[in-house]
Amino acid sequence: MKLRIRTKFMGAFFIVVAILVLNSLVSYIALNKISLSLADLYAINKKQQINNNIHLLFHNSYRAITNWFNTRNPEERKNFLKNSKRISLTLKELEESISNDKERRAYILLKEGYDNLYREAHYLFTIENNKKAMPVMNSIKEKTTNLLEFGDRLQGIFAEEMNSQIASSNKTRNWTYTLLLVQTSAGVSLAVILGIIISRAISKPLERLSSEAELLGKGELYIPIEVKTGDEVESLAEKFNLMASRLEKTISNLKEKVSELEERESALAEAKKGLQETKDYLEGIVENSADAIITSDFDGRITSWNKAAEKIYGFKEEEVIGKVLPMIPEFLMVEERGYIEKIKAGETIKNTETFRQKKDGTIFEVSLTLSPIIGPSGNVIGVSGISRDLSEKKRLGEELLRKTHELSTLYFISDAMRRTLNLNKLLRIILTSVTMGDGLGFNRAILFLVDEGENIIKGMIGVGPGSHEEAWQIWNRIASEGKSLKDLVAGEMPWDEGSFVDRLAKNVEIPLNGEGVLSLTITNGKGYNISLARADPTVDPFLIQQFGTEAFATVPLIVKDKVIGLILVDNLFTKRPIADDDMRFLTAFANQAASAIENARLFEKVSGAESELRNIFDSITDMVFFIDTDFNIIKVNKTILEKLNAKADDLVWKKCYQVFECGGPNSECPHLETLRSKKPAIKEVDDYGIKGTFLVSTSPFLNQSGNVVGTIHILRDVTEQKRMRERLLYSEKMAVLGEMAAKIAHEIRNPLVSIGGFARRLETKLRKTGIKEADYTNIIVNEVSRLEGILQELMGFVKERPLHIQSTGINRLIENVLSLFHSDLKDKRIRIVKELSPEELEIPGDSEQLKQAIINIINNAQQAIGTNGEIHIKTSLLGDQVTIEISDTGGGIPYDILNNIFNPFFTTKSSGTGLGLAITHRVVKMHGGEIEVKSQEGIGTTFIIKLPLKSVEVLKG
Amino acid sequence: MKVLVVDDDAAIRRLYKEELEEEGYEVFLAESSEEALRIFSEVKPDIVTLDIRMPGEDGIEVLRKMKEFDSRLPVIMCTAYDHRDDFNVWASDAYVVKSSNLDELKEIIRKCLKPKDTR
Repeated sequence: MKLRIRTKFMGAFFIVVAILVLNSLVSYIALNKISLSLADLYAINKKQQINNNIHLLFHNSYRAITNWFNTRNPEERKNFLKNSKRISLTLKELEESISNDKERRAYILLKEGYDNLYREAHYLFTIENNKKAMPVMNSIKEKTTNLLEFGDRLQGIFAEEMNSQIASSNKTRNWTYTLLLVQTSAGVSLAVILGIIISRAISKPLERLSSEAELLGKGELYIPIEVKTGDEVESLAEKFNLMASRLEKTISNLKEKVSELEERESALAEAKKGLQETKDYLEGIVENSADAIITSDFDGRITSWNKAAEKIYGFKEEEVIGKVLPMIPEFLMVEERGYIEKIKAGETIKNTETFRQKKDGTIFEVSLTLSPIIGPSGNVIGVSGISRDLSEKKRLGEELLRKTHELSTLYFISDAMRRTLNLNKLLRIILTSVTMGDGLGFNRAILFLVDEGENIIKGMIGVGPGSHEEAWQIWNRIASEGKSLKDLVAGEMPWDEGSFVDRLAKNVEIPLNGEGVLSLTITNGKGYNISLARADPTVDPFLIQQFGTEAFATVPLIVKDKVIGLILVDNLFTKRPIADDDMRFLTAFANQAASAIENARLFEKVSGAESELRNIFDSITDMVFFIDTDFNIIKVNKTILEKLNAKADDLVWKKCYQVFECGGPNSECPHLETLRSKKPAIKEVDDYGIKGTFLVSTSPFLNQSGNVVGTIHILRDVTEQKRMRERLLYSEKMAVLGEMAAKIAHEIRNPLVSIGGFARRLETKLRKTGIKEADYTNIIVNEVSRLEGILQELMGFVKERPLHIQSTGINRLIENVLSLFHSDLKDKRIRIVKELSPEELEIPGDSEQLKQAIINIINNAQQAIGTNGEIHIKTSLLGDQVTIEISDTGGGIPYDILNNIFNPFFTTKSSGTGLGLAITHRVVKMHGGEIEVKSQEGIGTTFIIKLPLKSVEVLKG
Repeated sequence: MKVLVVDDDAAIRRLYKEELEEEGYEVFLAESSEEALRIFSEVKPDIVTLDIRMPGEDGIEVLRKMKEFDSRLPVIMCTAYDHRDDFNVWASDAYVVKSSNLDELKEIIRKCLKPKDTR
């Protein structure tokens, strides 16, 4: 049994061995086959990947071309070329992987298509004009589409191969199944027996196989399958089934992944583009910042260094990149390390003040802000530092303070200067300001002005101590009295006129166009700071000899681009060098001073002009005065004071109408007329405060804004002119009148002669007949006689008769006239009161015509009285004039006709020629006399005749 | 005695003629300068009264011509108004302002003719 069993076992063993050998053989073959098909699948998959890559690259190429076409950005062209390299590499890869003719044909299409595209793209890049490039672009587009199609075709071929490969895999599988089934059915019994014994030995490798197949299924296709003898065929078959299905899945997964990758790549390109923009922007900020922006790693190695950092620290970027914090001074290194540790921990250090070092070793102050740089993974990867140069800021602050002080000093001085219009005092203020401690603080100062007329520069004033002793005394005194510049300018200045320096200064006269530094200051209009006078050839020798100056400075005084003078300063006693700051301040001060000097000069000119005007005003022989709009007298000239015999104080601020007695503001007032019209007005006024006739002209006095603030009155005495004019007018009138009267007289005379003559003849005849009506003709005769009389009188008036001058006694003449009126006056009960001078008044005159003149007045008087009244006649000698006054009680003459009574033909009587008083007037005037009339309405009238006594001699001779 | 009256006014000529004829003069009348000179040469008057203002030749011109002819002939100028001051230049013997009362004229004529008689 044992043997049998052994034999059996042996038999079984052999069978089993045989089966196993067979089985192994079959399995080997099957597995080998599967392994081969798996390698094929892998190769195809690889080709697909390459093709996909090419597809993607074609896309990129096309994108680069179109971008270039749209933007003409050279970067895009570079992109294209870069891409092209990758394409040719990939194509080569594809070519190497080609395994059959079908693939080769498709590949060649692809390759040639791409080569064409490549050439065409190059051609495109040479075309400058997009319009011309358009067709090429279109062709590229078409070719690209074709290429992509070829790619797709190739992909189709690969897919086909893949499918057939999978199909052959399946075949192998089925075949293996069958083989294994036969084996299995034959050896199953044995297997059952031995299986139990052997299965353990076999199952392990099979399990391994299965797990490895599983790995294979997962896609790790290149892992070699270690086959060991085993018997778990079914499990193995299952595993292979699984594997096949996994392979299918993997392939579809791969396809998905490819398209996914494609999408991701384009999205990535977009994101990259956005990132680039952001980066550019940030870089711009960093580069253009005024603050130094520096980044470093944790070891302090510089990783970036902006332009401001270059400027502030003096290191170039290329000098510092990679170096360890070159701008930190040695003594601060430890502290800096501490900062870096803090940053590492994510802290930020803000606006701390510390020191930094420049390339040249200068240490300076900065305000520092340090912050961590966060990497993409969110952790701190470096330090960024922003540093601001504080030394500049501090310097500016100090400067500001100093400027403020200077400005306030300047302000005060210029204020004082502006207030001073007296040139001498102004010059003194200027120089005092220059030399005072709280002014500009120079020891001595001399002011020169240009005298254009003489073509010289003239020393005007000098201030400062004459010697060390004086300097010490005066400065001590000022210090002890605590006097500031303000006090000195307001009150007494320490440097008297006529001091040593002043006397020296006043003696200086140098030519305007000289070679010396003073002349240069004027001609060049700029200041000079001479630190070593003896060594400078331009220094005028007298400055050294007389002023003993060793170092000095000059600044020009400039007004409106014109140099009007200069200021010279030195520090003879303190030996303090004159700094640039001093010069700057002095220049600023000189500008102020110059304009103040110009103002003062203008003021002098103006006040000179004013006094000139005042002289003119006073020397005008016309009366001139100025009133404001309210009639207040503001100013009067000398002539007015003389004519009115008054003082200016008596007149100023009085109302003009009170002074000039014009009867108050009325419609005739030329002042009002001028205020209304803003134009000059002229009026002729009689007895304007003073006897006589005056031409009053008023002109508007305008202020700067053009408003009338008053009027200027000019009064011209035109009394004489008026008399002349009136006389002329009168004689002209008389000439016309005379001619007319002569004509009329002639025409009337003849008919009157006829009427009167024949009436007489008639009367004579009628009287002889004795009829009563003869009286009628008598009336005719008388009336004609009267008419003839009037005619005679008229003719007498118009025909001026020359005077027959002889000595005439006025009293006698009056008596003579009165005797003519005697009976008439008695009838009318008019009393005659005579008040004749005790001595006869002999004057040279035409007694006949003078008699007529008196007759006419008395005639007028008795007609005015009518009946019952009194005529008063008075003669007297007053100086060299004989006065005849004839008054009546005839009720007076109305005021408004008083001026007319001497006019010829003016009469108020129904039966008067109006010639009587006109003849009287003329006779008196012809005698060189005057006639006046005064009348009070309701009372009476007085005629006053004044005749010259003296002209007797003249006329007689 | 022949009196020549020269006047352009007809009424006045008539008045003078009647008045002077009553005085016993032989009166000749002329109304213009031309007529005056013609009659003057025809009748050789002893005395002439001459109006200064006349149409045509002025009375003064007539006076001058008459005086040229006979410088001793008395000529009395009759004027409408007082020409006393111009009297000398006229070289007439007398002048009278015309008046409705002829007494003055008559008196002057008498005076002018008297010396002639005595001579």
